[in-house]
Amino acid sequence: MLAYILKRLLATIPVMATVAVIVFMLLHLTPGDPAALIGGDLATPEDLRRIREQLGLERPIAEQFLGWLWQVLQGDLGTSLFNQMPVSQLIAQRIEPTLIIGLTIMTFAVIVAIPLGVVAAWKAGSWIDQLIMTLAVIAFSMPIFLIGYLLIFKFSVELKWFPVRGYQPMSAGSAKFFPHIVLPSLTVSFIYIALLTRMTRATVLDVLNQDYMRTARAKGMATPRILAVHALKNAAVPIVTMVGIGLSSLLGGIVVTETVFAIPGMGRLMIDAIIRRDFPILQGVILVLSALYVLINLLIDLSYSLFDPRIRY
Amino acid sequence: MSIAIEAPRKSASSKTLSYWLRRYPLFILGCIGLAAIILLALFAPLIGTHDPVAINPAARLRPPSDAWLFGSDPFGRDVFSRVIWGGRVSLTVGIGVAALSVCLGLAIGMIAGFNRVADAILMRIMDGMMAIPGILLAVALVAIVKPSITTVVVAIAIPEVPRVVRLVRSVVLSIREQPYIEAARLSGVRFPGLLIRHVLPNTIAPLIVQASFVCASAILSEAYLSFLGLGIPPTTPTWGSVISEGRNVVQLAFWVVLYPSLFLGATVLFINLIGDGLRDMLDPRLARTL
Repeated sequence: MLAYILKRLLATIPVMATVAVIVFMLLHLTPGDPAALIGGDLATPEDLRRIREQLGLERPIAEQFLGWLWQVLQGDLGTSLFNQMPVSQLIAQRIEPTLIIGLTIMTFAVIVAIPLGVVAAWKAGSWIDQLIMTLAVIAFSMPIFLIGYLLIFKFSVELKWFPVRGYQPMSAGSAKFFPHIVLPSLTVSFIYIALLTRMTRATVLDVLNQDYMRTARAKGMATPRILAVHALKNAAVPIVTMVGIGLSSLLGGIVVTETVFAIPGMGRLMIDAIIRRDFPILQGVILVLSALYVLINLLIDLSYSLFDPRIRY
Repeated sequence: MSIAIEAPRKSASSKTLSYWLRRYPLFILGCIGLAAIILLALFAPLIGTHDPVAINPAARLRPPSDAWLFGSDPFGRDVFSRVIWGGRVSLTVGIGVAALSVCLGLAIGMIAGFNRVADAILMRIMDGMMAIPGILLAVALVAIVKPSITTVVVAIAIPEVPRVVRLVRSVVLSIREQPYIEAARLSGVRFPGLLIRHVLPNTIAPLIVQASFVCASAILSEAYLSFLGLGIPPTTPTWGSVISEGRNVVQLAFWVVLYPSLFLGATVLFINLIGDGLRDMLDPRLARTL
């Protein structure tokens, strides 16, 4: 087990290294002078000199990269060009809503999507399957702002159950915190549930065609037990893999949702940074969210042995 | 002992319309719906009732009526005309991204499938790109270059490439060891010819399905970029930018946000329905279980 964990940990190094190169190159792939890009149209030569100095743009590119990488490995994501605050500190201030909404969506979506997908696969071809799959493709196609604004209209403006926008940190108490995360979480959940339902159905359908399913049925096993014991257990590994892969669209969805609901999370931090051409923040946010994606997928890989006793490390 | 002889199956062309309607109703719905949206966008100059960019402060936030089918926005511009014109941008971006990412993905995937050294390097790069949430990478790419339709297409296409590469590579790996490839090789078919004549045709069916899903998600991504105030310059009406301008007045004037969102959602839905239908038709393994 320990050897496997170490091997898997080592395998994340090339992935994160590639992410680091892409994130670093973002600024240097730009046609023209990066300092002029950051400074904007109104920058004076003095401004440009200051930006070059702060980012070390005069040094050779390999040296810049290694220096930057060394800082990042020590947890230093650079300094904001706009207000001179450390990027890691800015991210720490903004990570709570993004993380909490993301985890809420994942939990909620798994609870809803897996039963829906199993039922659709079990009743494949019936009206209930067609209904679930039609709803899934609709939910999967809806833009986040349509779902978000419809929910705001119904539940915030008309029924006044939840606030229209904004966020209260957990430390403000659950009575203030909880209402603010319901609608944003629900908004992105639709898309994620649709994705997971489609994947669960396809996976369970594959399993249902296996010989051991016929055996289980032939020996008179009750259907719910067949589904729970044989079908879901064998489909579990591909399903949790999809939970991890779908995380990429989930994080992307949260970035848009934060603008719809005016939530001060990582997505808003990044968009505001782009408007101010504050590149260290942009790079930091992408790096942290990608690391989060890699980390959760690592945990999912390590969890396989829980679902499938054949997998022993 | 008797041998059952299967009745000769009718060829696809002889199947009637009612067969297609019964077998793939959602696919037909998708085709008709998308055709309607394409026609609206193509004939936007004839169908639009107002100039989509003309500002008219006297007619701010008019509710939907006969003169203003979908109402007017905070600058007094006609939402209906802007939505019709915005369809041009969305469809162009969708098709452009699908074409670009499929071409790039096909080329990289074929190389990765046939060359071990290149495979190891390319797939590591692809894994790294997949670890960055697609819309974030697109946002970052748009942020560093001058905004235009071309840069938006490129920025949205790049994050899609790894998915196409994986698909092409898996197809290439599975057919590389087939006897007919061996036979072609032994009979002296040279490498580029081998790829084009014998490998490429196998990738076409899954790629068409993939392209339709890429097209749908690209249209959404473009709308998200415009909504966030990035990407295509605000002088060009797009669904995302119309929604973005209605964002702050959504409680006063829901129509500015609602109608472009509905058009956007419907277009993406129609394309996804077409993609699902194509998948069922082209993938007999999945079609059998339905």
